[in-house]
Amino acid sequence: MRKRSILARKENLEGYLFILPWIIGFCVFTAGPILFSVFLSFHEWHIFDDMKWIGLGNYKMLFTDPLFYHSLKVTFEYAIINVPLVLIVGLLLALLLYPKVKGTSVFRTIFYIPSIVPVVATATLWIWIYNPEYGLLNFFLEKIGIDGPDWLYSTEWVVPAIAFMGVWTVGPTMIIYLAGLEDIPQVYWDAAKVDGANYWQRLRYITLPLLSPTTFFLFITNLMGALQTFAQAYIMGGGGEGFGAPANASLFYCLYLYEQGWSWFNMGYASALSWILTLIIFVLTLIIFKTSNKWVYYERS
Amino acid sequence: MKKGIYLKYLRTLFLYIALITLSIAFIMPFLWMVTTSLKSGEDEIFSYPP
Amino acid sequence: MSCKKFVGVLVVVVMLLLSVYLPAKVFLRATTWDEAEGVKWIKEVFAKYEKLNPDVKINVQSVTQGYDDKIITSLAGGTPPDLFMWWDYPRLASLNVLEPIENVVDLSKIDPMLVKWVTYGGHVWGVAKDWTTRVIWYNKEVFDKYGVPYPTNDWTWEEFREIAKKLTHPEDKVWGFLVSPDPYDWEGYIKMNGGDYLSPDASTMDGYLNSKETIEAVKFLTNLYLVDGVSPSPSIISASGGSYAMFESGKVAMIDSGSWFIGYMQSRHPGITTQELAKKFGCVFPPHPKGKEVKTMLHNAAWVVPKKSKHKEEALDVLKFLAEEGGRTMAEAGWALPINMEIAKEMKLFDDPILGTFLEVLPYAVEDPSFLKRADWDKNFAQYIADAFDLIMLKKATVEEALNKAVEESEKALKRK
Repeated sequence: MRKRSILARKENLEGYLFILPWIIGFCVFTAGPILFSVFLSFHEWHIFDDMKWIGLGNYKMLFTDPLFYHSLKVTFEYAIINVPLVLIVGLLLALLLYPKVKGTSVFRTIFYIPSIVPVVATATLWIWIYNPEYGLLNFFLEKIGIDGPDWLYSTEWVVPAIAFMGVWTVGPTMIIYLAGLEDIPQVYWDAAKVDGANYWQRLRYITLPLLSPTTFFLFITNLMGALQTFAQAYIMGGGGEGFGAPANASLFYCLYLYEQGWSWFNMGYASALSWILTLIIFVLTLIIFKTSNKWVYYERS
Repeated sequence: MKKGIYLKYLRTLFLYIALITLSIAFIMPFLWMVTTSLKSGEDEIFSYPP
Repeated sequence: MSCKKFVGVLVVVVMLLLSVYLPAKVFLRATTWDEAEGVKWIKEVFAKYEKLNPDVKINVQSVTQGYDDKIITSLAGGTPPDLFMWWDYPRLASLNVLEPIENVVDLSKIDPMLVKWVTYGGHVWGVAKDWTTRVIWYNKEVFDKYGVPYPTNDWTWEEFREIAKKLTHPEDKVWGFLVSPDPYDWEGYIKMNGGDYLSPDASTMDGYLNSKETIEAVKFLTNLYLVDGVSPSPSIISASGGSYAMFESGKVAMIDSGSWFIGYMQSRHPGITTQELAKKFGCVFPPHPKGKEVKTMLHNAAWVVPKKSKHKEEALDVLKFLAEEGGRTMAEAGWALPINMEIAKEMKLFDDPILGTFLEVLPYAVEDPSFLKRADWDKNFAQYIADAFDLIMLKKATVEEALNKAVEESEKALKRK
């Protein structure tokens, strides 16, 4: 017994030794900066001057900053459009790909390809698609008799446009839904079929409830991603003008945070902004978790 | 029984139609990008329809 | 370690030390945003300095992506390059990271306007390298096609507007002028109408940005797009490859820009001279309101030396040389305008069909540009003006509403801090 525990301890030690490079990297490049940003958020600091302790000053200033509210509004508008849309389309694609017919793997690949394109390339491509004069989208809209808007150049449409683009990169959501579907035992459907339930009834009363843990997971992760949107807005705003163009209509929260930090060097304020976002995400996740027992069904219970 | 097989084929057909339509929608931006990159000169690129 | 190995290592270490210390060579790092062609000429100039000072070697670094961020982080980290290109002097000078040069470098040979535009808070912060005034470029082929006579330096706003209208032919997809709102680029038009962004004491925009004269100037510029329709929309510009592409191909007859268009053309047609360029394009002063004097904006990038340079003395000595050299090398290469006007006269650049305009309009440059008045210009003022211009162009607000809103927001921002 004794010998084994020594061996176990030795193995433990070796294990830690093996992951030591990662631990050091994590402390220096991840945990360190995170803690430092907490510290920073209570200071006024413009990189070159000395840090000045101002307590909750940065957080107080947030509440009188109209652009803070504005960028929050923009980000939520995006999330409200993007997240449900991605979930619905992801589920739809998964349902279409689930039946065992020939060629599903080809279709799976097709639907997933856009998701492996780097976001910068996707954004650049979509600037062109959204071009009001020469773009692909308004060309098709015109064909069906709709006079398309100015998309990225319009204050009303720039955020929805960026949100719609998210559907094109629905791949990961679709794959996870597909995995969720594969997990559902065939017998449930067969039993329901015998009972005379049609496709919609089976979908409504069997598939969706049994998929609810998947939906729950995807909802939270997609929401977190949506609230942290940066690159798309940075590249696409105003058709490439960036930084909230046109007229701040695409000033996403993270863009504003970046602007405060790197255009105006308000490092303390930028840190405070990032912690408020963290807090918002945390609270939202908590709320979703708390309400989850009302709509998420686990097979075991 | 025959009606059931019919229905099954119809359903598969619908499935394929849906899958193909959606695939086109997903691939269209790529195709457009590739064709645009092969066009030379502004007049061709900005020809309308694209 | 065996004895042989030890001796071997020792020899290498000694040789390394010797190679660093014996020739007493000083290595200076110079950072620029220029790309290949520009870097080539910078190296040419520095080679002349190295010839005169054999113990100094200048390494040129070209940073074309995220230039500002890289310079700023290197300054904050205490390891900045010994020399670097900059243009927004108040931003760094106010952070106390730049070395003032007026007591070290003889500035008497540099054009006074170019010195004024590197001065902030009573100190001179750099030696100008690239500069350009803003002029109106016109495409002669478009003028010929529609039978419109070429403009002259003394044209007024009204004449400009009429010409732009005559050149606009939507059926041919040709526009008279490209309107692209920018607080910096438009400051000349506002000043020549007697308006301004900031009060003379630089404390507020109230009563200046929303003054009658400023509103009039902004209306003149934005109405070209909104009312007269002489300008393509931003989405057409971006889809057509930008303003220079549209101008070169004759889709736009006139643009308001600096000398960069020459570089653009040189990159597309290597070796093209200004004489050849003048066959197709011309430059004139910006138009002015009737009875008032023309003003233009200047873009003036300079070599600066950070306080924390490891070899400050040598770096300042390079600036001395650059001031003395007066931009001759680059002017002779046809890459940049000289900073010493004697050289320009000697090279007969005032007679150049293209470059002449840039030199002649230099005395009409704005004397007190807003960005040199406040270090927080961008943050507390310019960004609100840019938003206002956006709102006007999108027809979300009238000129009066938008500019008043910008004043209000700037005042609020000033109070928050």
